[in-house]
Amino acid sequence: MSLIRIVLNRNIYPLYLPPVSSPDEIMQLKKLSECRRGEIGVVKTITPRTLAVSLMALGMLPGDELEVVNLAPFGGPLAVRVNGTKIALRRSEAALIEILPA
Amino acid sequence: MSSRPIRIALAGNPNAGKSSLFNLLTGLRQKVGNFPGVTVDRKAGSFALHGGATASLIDLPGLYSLYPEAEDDRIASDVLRLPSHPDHPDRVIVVADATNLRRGLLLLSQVIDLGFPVVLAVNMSDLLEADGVRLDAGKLSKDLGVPVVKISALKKRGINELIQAITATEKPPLRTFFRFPEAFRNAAQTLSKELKLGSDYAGFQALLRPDLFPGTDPEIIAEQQQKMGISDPAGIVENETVVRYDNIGEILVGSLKKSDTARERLTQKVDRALLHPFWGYVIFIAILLLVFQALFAWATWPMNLIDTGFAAAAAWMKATFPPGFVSELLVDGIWSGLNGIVVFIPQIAILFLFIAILEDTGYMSRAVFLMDRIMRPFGFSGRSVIPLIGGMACAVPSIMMARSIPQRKEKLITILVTPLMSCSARIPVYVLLISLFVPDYRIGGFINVQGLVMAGMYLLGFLMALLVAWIIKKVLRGGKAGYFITELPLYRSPRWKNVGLVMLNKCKTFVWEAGKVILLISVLLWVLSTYGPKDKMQAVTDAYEPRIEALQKDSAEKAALTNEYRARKLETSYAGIMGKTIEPVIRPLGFDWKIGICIITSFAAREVFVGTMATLYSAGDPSTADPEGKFAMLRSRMGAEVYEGTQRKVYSPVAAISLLIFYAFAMQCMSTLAVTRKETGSWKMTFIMLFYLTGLAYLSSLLIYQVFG
Repeated sequence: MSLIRIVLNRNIYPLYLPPVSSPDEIMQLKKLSECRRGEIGVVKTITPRTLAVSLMALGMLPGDELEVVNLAPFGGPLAVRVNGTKIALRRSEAALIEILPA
Repeated sequence: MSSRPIRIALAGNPNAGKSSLFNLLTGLRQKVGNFPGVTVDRKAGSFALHGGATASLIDLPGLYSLYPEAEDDRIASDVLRLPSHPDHPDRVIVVADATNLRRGLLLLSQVIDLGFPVVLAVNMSDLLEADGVRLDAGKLSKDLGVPVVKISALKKRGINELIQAITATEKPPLRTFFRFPEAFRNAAQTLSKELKLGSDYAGFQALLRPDLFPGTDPEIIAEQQQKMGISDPAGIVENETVVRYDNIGEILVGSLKKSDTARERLTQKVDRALLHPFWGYVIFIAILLLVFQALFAWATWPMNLIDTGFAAAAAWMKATFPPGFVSELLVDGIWSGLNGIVVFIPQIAILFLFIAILEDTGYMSRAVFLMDRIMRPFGFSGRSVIPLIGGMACAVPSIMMARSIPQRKEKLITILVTPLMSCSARIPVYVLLISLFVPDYRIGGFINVQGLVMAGMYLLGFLMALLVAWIIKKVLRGGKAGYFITELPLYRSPRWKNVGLVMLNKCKTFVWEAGKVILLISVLLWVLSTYGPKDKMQAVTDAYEPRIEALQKDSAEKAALTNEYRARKLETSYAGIMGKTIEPVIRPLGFDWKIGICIITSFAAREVFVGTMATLYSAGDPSTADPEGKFAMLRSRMGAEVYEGTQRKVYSPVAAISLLIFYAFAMQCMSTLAVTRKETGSWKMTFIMLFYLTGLAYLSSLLIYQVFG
């Protein structure tokens, strides 16, 4: 399983398309900003792409499972745990992330 | 190789252990400065390579990827991306946290593609292996194409192996990590050549993120973008990131942790309390009170010790050296200037003791989390709370702390308004002025009215800081704001060596950088208040010295006459002349020329106001005993002062309030200015601070005196 093979095998498309959700799933999608403490879900879409790139760099990718672990009061930031990393983001940014509740 | 040492950069995610590794490699051979043009710590040092040659080492600020969104996160990636950057390294050590390897390898893969000779240092692999996951460095090295060394910065393991590896790694890896589509190759190569970048990958980045390549002709990049038909460059960056992670995921199969480590479980538990919507704030306020108490109370005795020590040495020098210009310059000018620098060290050391502990344990980002919602409307960062509270003790260390605020605009706002918080140097001024117009009376025998006014002054400073911050936020053009996404790192116990080095470095840079300006201004102020037009000064001397000589030693008359002599001399000096010259300007505020002199001399530090007043009102040598009696004497003489030829009191209640407000707002502290200059690296910002604060003070006092006077 050498690196070379992986790189050559991968068909690089010019734009990244998140994994397609079934219509059933789309109905269940929920903004991260609307989640309560303790809610668990799978990251589905992050828009815009610049936010997606920033979050991926911190270790949050579409398809990853996350848990809302802390909420600051009065509409302050929220903290999620994803892949063992805790990430804090403002509600306004959380509103740009859609998750599929587990 | 040329004769210059090999330049090595340490890059890695925040909290991957970069700083610990840097401290281990360089020891005390390190220097903290600024990156050119920005208020971001630049830590540089040197260490010996295997075989003895010296390499220079630079510790880059933590970064997650080479595609930063916020302008303020750019420095580290600029250093790596731009061969023209003065700190551009020859080789790179990428430090990755073994328990968060996937993310660390994303950065590594980008650094590889920039064409550097790279070594990967996997830190904390012992923690991963304690969890039952084996990390095969040999296999990882084969898959990545770069040497991999397992280290433990905490236990000082693997450091020699790392030095050997970086010594031997002279060439970049044979293959790049990310193969961008063939279609892009031509454009990337063209841009790499035209912009003089080190690699095709840098050219590819220029194609997608022209904003990361300042100073280049946008036409060149736009032309290539058009040729390629790129309409959504962010999508291509997103795709690149996903492909990198896919590859990393395949490499790391079996090397990723399966369950939470003990530290992760602990962090979860601790955060349930520290980020609690109620108890979290209680704990945060308790920590703030502790920091404030430490700055306010604990720093007092070493500061007094420093002042007493300097005074004793000054007395000794005066007695030992032959009198004359040189010894006066040395003792009253330079020595007291040095005193004014050294006296800040206890407060700086204590504040940074706390700051370093709060940062090192991981608490600081929790404070940001808790305070973000409250501070944001005023243009502050959650981090601004600590400089603002610290500003109630002293603005100097607080402004030094503000540099750790990552966003440039928030950092600037915090620095600019921190001097409005009522610092401890204002207390003696407030006490004196309040006692002039507020009776020493207790409401219901319990609440002291003077104390109430004092508390009001603290509140006034705080509210003004909020107001000014809000105005600056509205006025200042915000750069690219970026997102507020912060990692809340795992808690850990503070590494005392790191804490000690932070304290040492902060004190050192203050003494060397801000100290120069402070020394210069204090010598200048000494000259102004000691020397005057020769003939006039001589006349004062001739009038007093024979009379003082004639009086009996230690007699009350002699002391009184000496005080009067001092007052006359100050009045005749250049500072005295300046005080009289500015009188027409400050008269509308209700100030006379004596206050004018005080404003000039207390530019050194606010508390000098009281000493100068004491001299002008012949209320005794500030260094003699019985401060209570002197204070009462000064107060009664100031209270009795009338304008010449009238019965009108100089210190009418309105004039005293006007002066009080003036000292609440005016930039009467050369050390704050010196440290602002050092922190912002800009005289422009320093003068903006000086003029807005003094202007605010002037207008407020003017308003009060003209409306109510």
